[in-house]
Amino acid sequence: MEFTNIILPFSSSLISFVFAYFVLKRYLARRGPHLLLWGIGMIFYGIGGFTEGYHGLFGWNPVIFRFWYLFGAILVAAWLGQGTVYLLARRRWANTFMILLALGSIYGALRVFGAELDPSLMTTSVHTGSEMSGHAIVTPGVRLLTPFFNIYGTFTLVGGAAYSAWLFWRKRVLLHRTIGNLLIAVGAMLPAFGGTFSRMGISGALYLSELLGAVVMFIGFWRAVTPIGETDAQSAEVPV
Amino acid sequence: MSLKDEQKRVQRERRYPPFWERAVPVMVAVIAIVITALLVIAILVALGMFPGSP
Repeated sequence: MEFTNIILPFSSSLISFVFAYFVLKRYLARRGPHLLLWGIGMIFYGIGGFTEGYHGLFGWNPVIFRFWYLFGAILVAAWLGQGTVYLLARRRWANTFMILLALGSIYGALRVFGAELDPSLMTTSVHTGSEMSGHAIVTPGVRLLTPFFNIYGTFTLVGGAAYSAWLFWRKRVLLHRTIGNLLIAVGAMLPAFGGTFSRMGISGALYLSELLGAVVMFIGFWRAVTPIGETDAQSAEVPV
Repeated sequence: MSLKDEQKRVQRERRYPPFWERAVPVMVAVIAIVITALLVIAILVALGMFPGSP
């Protein structure tokens, strides 16, 4: 239980923060809003993992829970996906969605930090009870925010990565970017599967999937920015 | 030969390694199917029609 509820999420958090460091370092060198948003998204991912590990180590804390739900359950996928929107969409559309996401995030934060909580509801749900669960939120309507952010995040992050891989494959260029985007798409999907398995009562599924997701996305990012025996000119053509 | 025809000819001659030639479209198709399923589930959750819905 200690491994599942403490070591897994803390490991996920550590990897996420390290990943964020490298992405933001690349942002400082190359600029590009997509890198900034991916870096912020991975910081959110790390905050989610940290709060899960904290909960496993110290037990219930309402502030920790609110941070977990806001950053880990609501915002992370959407902010990562917004980075991909900046990479693939026209700047005007990306800016529009960014404004909507920012306003939605502020609204979500106000609702989460103003919500009434009941930790006993986490153990009475279909979840295993060892993992954190949004069932602890009593105030109606707060949990309804999550699917909208996750739908947007899934479509843009996973769909965007798969679409990028498809584009590179069609042109038969930059194989490393193709492979990297496929890994990023797979890694981004893993936490969604973990949540589903968690609902079925499989203990540790959520935290394990989050860890694997962070690792696979990190490998994908590294693969995407590391050419495979290609010229620097080719890899410099497409900004990432 | 026009520039566009030349570009098409060069593009046709480019190939990924055999494994990736086949693997990439399969993986993209699988990911597309999974995304669709996840989006449908998320929409059903938002509508309150799925187990574990808020």
